[in-house]
Amino acid sequence: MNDIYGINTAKTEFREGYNTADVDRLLSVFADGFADLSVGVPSFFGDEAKSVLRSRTVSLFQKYRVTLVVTIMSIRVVHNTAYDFGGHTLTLAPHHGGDPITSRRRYFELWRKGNDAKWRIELFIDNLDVPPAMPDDEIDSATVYLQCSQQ
Amino acid sequence: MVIEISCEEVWREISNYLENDVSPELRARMEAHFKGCGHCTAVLKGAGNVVQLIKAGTVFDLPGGFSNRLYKRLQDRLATKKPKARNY
Repeated sequence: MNDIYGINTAKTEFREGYNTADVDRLLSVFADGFADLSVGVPSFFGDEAKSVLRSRTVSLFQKYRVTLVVTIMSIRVVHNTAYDFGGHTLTLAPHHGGDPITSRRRYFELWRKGNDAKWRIELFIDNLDVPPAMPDDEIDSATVYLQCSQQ
Repeated sequence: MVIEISCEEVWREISNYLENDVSPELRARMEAHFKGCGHCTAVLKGAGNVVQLIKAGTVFDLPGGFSNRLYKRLQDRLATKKPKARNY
């Protein structure tokens, strides 16, 4: 298995972990002591990151049926390190009825290849996506910074 | 279970995909990717259109001076080209 395929396979496990509500399957993709810089929640590092991710996802799966669509834009491999970036479209359908909620996020992941030849995420960071726009249509930077500082 | 594939890998294989020259596994991965990726779907449709036009073999008579006007217009366009927004 080449490295690109290995990361695609790990990313598939990540996707299926969410889509089958299998917390262990999801966590198997993350390195011990990874850095979790997910949007909208406090950051966690080291040993705490996995236990926090576990409790967050257990809680998520109790409330919602999750559908994750992954779009990997690019994967770059340098020796035993790699990074990829792309988009996640996450749809949360409440178990007890109600409208599903969909959010699009842009992510970046840093990967490390272990001694077992498996790739695991060492750093995860994402932010909320916004609709695409041509450069002329973009609002000015000051407005963006003000919006971010109010969150 | 369909294994993920990145946009860059899809672009590399898109002409093979259109010519039915990919393995069943790769085809399934690409088709799953197209469902979630608007950008790659647009690339696929564009490449498919080019193939259709070439296959049709229709020859059009162009008006006089068309080549020069097209060349100048492309040069003008390239001189003012701006980066495009990304829509995956």
